[in-house]
Amino acid sequence: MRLGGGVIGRLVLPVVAAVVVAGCTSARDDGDESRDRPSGPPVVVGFINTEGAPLGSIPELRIGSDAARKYINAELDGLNGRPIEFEVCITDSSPESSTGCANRMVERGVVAVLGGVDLGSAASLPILTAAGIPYIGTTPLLPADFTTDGAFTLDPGGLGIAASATFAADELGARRVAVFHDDSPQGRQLAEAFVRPVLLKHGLSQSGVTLVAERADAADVAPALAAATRGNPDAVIVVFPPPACSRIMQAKAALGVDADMLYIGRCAAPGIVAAGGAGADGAYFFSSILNPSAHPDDEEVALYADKVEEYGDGEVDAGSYDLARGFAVTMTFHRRLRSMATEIAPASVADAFRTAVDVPSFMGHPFTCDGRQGAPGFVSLCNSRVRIYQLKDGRHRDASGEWISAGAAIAGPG
Amino acid sequence: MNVADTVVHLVLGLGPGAVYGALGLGLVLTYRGTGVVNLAYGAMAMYPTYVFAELRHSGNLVLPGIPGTHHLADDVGAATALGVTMLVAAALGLCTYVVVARPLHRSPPLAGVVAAVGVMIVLQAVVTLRFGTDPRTVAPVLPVHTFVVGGRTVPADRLYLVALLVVLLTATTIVYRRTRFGLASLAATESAIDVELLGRSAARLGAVNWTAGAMTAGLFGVLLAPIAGLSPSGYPLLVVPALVAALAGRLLSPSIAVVAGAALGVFQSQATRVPLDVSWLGPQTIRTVLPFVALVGILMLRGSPTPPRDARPAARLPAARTVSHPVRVAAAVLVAGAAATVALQGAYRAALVVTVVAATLCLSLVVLTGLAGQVSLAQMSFAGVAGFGLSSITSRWDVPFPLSPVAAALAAAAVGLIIGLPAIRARGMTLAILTFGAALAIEELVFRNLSRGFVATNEVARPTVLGVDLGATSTRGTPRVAFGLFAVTVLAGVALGVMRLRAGDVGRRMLAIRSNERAAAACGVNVATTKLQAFVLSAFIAGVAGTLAGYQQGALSDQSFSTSRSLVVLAVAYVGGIASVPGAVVGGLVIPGGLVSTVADHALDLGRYETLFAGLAVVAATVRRPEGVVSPLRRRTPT
Repeated sequence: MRLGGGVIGRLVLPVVAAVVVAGCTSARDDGDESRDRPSGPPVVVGFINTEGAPLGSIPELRIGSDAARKYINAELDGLNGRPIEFEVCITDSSPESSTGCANRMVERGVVAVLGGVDLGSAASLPILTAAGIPYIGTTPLLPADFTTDGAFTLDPGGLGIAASATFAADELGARRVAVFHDDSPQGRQLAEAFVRPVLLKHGLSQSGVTLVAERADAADVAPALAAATRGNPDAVIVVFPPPACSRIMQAKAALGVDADMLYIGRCAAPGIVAAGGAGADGAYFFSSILNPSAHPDDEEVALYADKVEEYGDGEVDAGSYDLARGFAVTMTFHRRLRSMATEIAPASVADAFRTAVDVPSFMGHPFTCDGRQGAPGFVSLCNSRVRIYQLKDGRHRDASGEWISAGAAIAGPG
Repeated sequence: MNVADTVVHLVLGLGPGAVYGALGLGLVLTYRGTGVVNLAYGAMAMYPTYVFAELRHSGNLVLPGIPGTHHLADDVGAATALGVTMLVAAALGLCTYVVVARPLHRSPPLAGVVAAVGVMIVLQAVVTLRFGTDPRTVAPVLPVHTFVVGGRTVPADRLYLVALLVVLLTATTIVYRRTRFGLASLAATESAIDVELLGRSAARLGAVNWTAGAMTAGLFGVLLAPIAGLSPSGYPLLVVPALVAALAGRLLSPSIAVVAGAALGVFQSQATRVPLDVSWLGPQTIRTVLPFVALVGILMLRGSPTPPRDARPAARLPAARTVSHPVRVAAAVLVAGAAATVALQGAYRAALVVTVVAATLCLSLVVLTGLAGQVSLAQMSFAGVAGFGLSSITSRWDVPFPLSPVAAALAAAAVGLIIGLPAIRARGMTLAILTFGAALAIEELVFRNLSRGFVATNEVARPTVLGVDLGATSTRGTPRVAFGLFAVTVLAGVALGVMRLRAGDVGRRMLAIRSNERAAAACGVNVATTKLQAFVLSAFIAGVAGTLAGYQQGALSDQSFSTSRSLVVLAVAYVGGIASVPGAVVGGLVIPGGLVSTVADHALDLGRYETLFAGLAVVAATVRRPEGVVSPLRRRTPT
């Protein structure tokens, strides 16, 4: 076809050119239902996730969730005799594609939407909540994930770093702490509003807390880490998204930093840690679910390891934090709804989560959706408790030995 | 401030600084070959680096356009991998030169910008498809040593990078000062025709320089990867510091580019030591925005209110014709848009609103570029100023609709006036880069600071007039018909305004300076005032689009109006036809998330390949039809 000429060229070219960066692809995933036992009409649940986008990609969340869905359908009689079906929508992190996904969920009439990570949640959540569709989130990153009435977030996301601050002050005995954070609105707020105040409440002096910011996509993070560790702090609390963590671990080794390093939970991903090399050894990570490698004897961890191997796609390591979180959210969703006497519909699902008090969650701390689990205004947050793990010689060990509440750390008395 | 600290940060800064310098030098080489400033240069460093990383990781050679992987060996050594990577970089450089840069050498500078955006999209898509988006780490190529300064451990690889840069600069200097090829390349930068008359092939010179530039990008991309990590989002942005370095040397001096790049790296490293207690002035502002602001000053001082008498005649932009019946055309847009709003449901209606907003943005470029011949890579910044302004106006001061969007758009116009000031003395590619810098500055200084973390969102109040709710969000998917009709009405009104502008005195003055600034000035046209009028009007229209986007999204973040989106808007506006209202509508149709994209996605399920096709289409459209899809005839005569 000659692009430059004729009517065909003029019509076809914009059609092809239109298919640009964003868009929203959807795949009805009917899965391998040969083993399904439930025979009722399917319960259609949405799943929005970011994959293959330049800003990030976490397919493990979807793969883990889908493995749990297949397990539930095959062995747990689905949801009250009805198979769970996923309506999957992949966003590329732009508001437009997230809007497209939300609209698709409304059109499809899903009873709830599971996340996944959605970097366009500011655009998608208002659409879902206006339609009365509850959003059950696992990876809160943006304000809307925490502050939307009608969304229920089972994981504190980056907010868990407040629990790490408590741990650093109380358990590690750190008196001088550097908070090395991403120079983004979220990174800045985490450091300034949620980490520094917690450290001060736990006895550190103003001069004992140093904040140093750097962009996650900086060409070299070593200068900023050198600045953060200039005063030889006892601990460095690292508030960066996972891609930067491995570079910070490498820089730690290159600069000979010997402070305790505390990272957000998703930095414990096997790929990140492996890339971090020697600099990853000894690092602390928080986790909203039991780390499979640290609790091999736990009943739910064993179930996860068994079923994800059977129903997963076989390509992702069962040790993946995101795979486990994806599996856990679907299991928790099922656990909350399986005893529902009323018809499964958006309103009844939303009601089930809105009234949840100390409901057991899969591999995690029980959750409560009373809108008071985090900082004021964090109405969506249903669980802020995390455990702290330390990576030592390639294995995670349970360093905190108990769940620590990030919400209590933030809201508690000074 | 102790000496050891200063030395530590000096050494650490020299690492990225050396890479900035090398990439700045590479940009100079590519400019010498073709006169095109390659905005895809960072992406051209990225692909070979991925090839190198994959070779070292698995021994597999992954080539674009060739399915599957080719297993070379189980363990490929660093030297072998680097050799193969250099061949891939050379092939990539030669390919982009032949397919993109060479055909565009007589096209408007804007075509080069748009084509480079297309190349960037293609390379990002290829990397995403072939290598995934997970960040990669690359094993060090240079020896890993450390040394101790004043009790602080410092890695030595940064110094090795500097040594390599010095070798590269020396070789480049010798080649360009002492060889006939080098001297001919310099001459070709000034006048390709004169070089041809002297019996040298300008195309061959361009190909060699472009290839050398691509190999430089590949080499230093590989060397930077162990420090910077490798991701499809990070590497393309390396073009920004590289541009700062190259522009400091006026795109002509490799040695100044190298020194400026190294100085930028050291400055950024030293700036991390400065404790800041000003919340809105983040470290990124100091390290990225300030050098760009300094550069803007230098470029403005170097520029001139009128182009030099011997300036090369710029290739013409597409014809900007008057419309015989503007009211009928606007009415047609209104009726068609209204019918589509009512007829379409859910995702399609949302896509229609995306199209309407984008078409309005494209109309802002019709005024600025199509009529006045000025270049701006900051349209989304204007839209963002209005969007965030609307949020403030409606939430803090309770200004009623429709005063609120008008006031917000006026704020955008005021920013347009400021960003338009450099246009008085700068033009063409220089102006494009200056506006790009301004857009980055606005994103860093304003949008990121207004996106206040987790608690506060920048909500935009629903528009209501006389009790009628025009808001977007509904319980059955967004947007509501009322909002769709409102947006379409705004688009039709703006289109009518642009058509009337074209036919009026102001439009004619704009076209006069687009055709020939010196001649226009000689005819009594106040060139500076007219350029500023174009910027103000364009920013106002972009602001109107920004208010529509604000109403549509309901809540805004710094992601809502990103600079990269400005590039995409420019690309679709150019592909559609940047000098006409129908071209703007086509641009709106083909924007990401717009109607055509949504229909194609639903009907063809292009899935993971859509980004690749999109980038290829932008490149193909720009190269084959630089005047835009809607342009009736392929000719280069102005009106």
